[in-house]
Amino acid sequence: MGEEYAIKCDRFTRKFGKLTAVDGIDLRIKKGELFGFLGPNGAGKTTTIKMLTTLLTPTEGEAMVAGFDIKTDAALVRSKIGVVPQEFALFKELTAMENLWYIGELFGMKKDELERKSEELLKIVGLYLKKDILTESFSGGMKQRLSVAAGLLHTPEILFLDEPTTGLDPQSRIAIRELTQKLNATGITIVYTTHDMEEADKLCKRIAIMDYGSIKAEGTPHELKEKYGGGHRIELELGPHDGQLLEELKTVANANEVSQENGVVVIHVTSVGGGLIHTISSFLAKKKVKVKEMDMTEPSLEEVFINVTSKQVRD
Amino acid sequence: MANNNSVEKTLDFRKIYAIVKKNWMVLSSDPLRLRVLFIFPLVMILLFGFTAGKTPKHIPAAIADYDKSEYSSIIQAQLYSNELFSISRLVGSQDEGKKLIESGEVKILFVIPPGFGDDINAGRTPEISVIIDESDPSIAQVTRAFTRVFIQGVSNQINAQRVAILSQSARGFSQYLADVRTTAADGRKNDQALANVYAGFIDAKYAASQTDRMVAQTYSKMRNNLGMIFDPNEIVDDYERNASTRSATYALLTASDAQQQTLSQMATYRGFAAVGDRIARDAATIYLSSKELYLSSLEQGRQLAISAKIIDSASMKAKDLADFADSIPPTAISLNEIEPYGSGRPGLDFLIPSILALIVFQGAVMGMGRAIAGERQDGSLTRVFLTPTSNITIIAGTLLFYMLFETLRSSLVVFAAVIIFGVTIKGSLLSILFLITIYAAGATGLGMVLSVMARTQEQYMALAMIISLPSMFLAGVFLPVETMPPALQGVTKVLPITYASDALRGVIIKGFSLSQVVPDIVFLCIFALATLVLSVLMFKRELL
Repeated sequence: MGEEYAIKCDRFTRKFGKLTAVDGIDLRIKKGELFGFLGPNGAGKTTTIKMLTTLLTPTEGEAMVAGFDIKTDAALVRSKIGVVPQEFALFKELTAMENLWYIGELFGMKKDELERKSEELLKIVGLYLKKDILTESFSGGMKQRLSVAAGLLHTPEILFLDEPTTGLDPQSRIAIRELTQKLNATGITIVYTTHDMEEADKLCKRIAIMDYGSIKAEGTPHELKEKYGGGHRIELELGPHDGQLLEELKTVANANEVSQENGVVVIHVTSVGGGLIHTISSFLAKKKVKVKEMDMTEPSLEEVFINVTSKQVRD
Repeated sequence: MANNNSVEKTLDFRKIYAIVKKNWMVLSSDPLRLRVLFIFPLVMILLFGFTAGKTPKHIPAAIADYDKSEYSSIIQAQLYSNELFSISRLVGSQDEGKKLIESGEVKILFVIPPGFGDDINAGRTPEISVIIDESDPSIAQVTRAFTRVFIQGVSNQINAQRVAILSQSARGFSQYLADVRTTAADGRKNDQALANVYAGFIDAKYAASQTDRMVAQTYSKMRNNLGMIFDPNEIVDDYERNASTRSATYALLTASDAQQQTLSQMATYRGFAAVGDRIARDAATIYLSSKELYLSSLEQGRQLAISAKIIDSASMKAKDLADFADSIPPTAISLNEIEPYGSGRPGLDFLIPSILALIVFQGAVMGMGRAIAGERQDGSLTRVFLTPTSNITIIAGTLLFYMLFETLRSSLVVFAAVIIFGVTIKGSLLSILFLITIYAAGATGLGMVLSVMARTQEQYMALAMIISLPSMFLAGVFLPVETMPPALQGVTKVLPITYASDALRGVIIKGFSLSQVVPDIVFLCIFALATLVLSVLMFKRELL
């Protein structure tokens, strides 16, 4: 298995009439990655996922998923991927166990393997005790966990989770995130879409921010913050000092801007690398300015997101 | 290297089984819905069972009798005594009668043309004209049907009269023979006796030829009558097309029995004519042997006894002939006494095939909304699409389930019809099952086509309405097809429900075997195949 990438797509495009939902994206997702798709509503995340999971055909471009072409080897792609769609996508008239049975049958799983896997997964997602209850009566979180179990039933190499935590209570959200991390730790490649910045930041190793059908930014959360976060803030609460200090600080720290807000000095810098904090504290010590408190904040992913996609409301 | 075929077979029977089982599990998880699905056909059959078979009575009518013969009075008497018509007027002319129709006072005018009785006596086909108020098509239907029965009844009466005459002739012949015997015994050496024997023979021969002629005439009369007898199947079809002609059609069906009777009578008469011939030959033998005997027994009178014996045996034959003629039952038809055809609950037998066809169609078309469109809408189809399962397998599995389910439901209708209403099923149950199955395949296939076209159940229902409502009304189940404009009648020719009704009617009512409804089967099979191919072609494995 020389293949390095779990997912590889080039000039990936989908048009709906005049609307271009996905506009020629190029993407590489390595095996074993936990990759996040971020983007406002209608950015093209779900369309991209649907194409990668063979539910939609691209109008242009191509993609290899788990080593197979999504157009010519759709069935093979399906056998290698697991999907947790945005909607429930299971039979509410069937019990949890029956749903898994049906899906397993359609994956052509052997009877005993299917039984074993179903029980194992229901235990993992904490639904084993509810296995014989109609899913109609399940809560949103339970449905989502069952959906994850259904996506994992045939032991896929890649798991797609399309906004799995949207609309769930905090407990369910945490459960889903923990499960995702645990699964990724076992070696499954995970593609995760969300518009929860905090979640993406905590969970994903690499992120692509989509907007208007194309990928606007891509990298690790840290890289993105460095690049698009608009810099770090260093906040200083200082003892008595003269008015010149701010100007001097700006030069010393090579800051973009230094301001005073409610008695707190705020230094905006692009990067905190190169022992910057040390430089600042040495400078202040030399000036005999007392540092009462010092705080440093990284830019949030939300800032990155807004910077990349603008504040305009979508939908 | 693996390929698509290793994970996805075009037709995967294990997966098809899983799809069938899943659909049953989904359906049975909602007991209320399941019960309603099974109760619906029962409700339909109960409704039809108790409302069908109402027949019109006392339709106002008039008679114009130009003939005024013995036979025309028989017809008048028949019309008067029939409950279907109420003869309000005896008019002098056809024009007078037409005016009554125009004024709405009567709906029908029966015209007995001049020479009607003469036609009967001469062995020609007599005619009765009927003028019908066409503004009421159902009455027009009833009257047309009734008139056919009527003429059949009259001709049967005439036949009965002729048989009576025949019987009388035979008796006369028997008497002549007895006379011959007496004469032969008494006048053994007398020339005069021989002359008497000869005269007796002449008389006997005449009687025999009379008999013969009579037989021939009656026979040809019957043949004429047969000319206007019709195909019993046509009657049943006629019945199906118009609910209100039912009563008259019962009569027609009985007329068909009368036809069978006439045919058997004809066979009898043919035998009768042969007997007449033999009598004539016997008489000649009697004459010759009597003459011979007379000559030879001038000295040997005892041989005369043998002659007497031969005469006796001829006499016996003549007597048998007379008895035989007597034993032919006169066939007088009275329309009031006609037994209802079938189960005694008039109408249901005839409607069962159509009800069945309707229930299967409605059930299949309405039920298929859940199948693909519904699963597309609630998202569960997504999950199926994410598995390596071919479109053909998905469609085949879904169709198979609904086909089996509809067949089960329809079997329940047949069962209910037999148990609750005592409907007689003349054909084989297996044939019915076969027809229902191929028909259900087509109906569910049609539902499938609509289901793959629609994105939501609401869209599906809108599409299904366009298809199922016309089928319901154009199939002639509720309204007679004849009353529709020709363009709409043409539409019925392409509806599967028309062919299913026709085939089921053939098997259930007429006791046809499958080989007798091959055209219907061919249409239904082509329809099922076409819908299957179409749904596979139209099936889009895309989720927007």
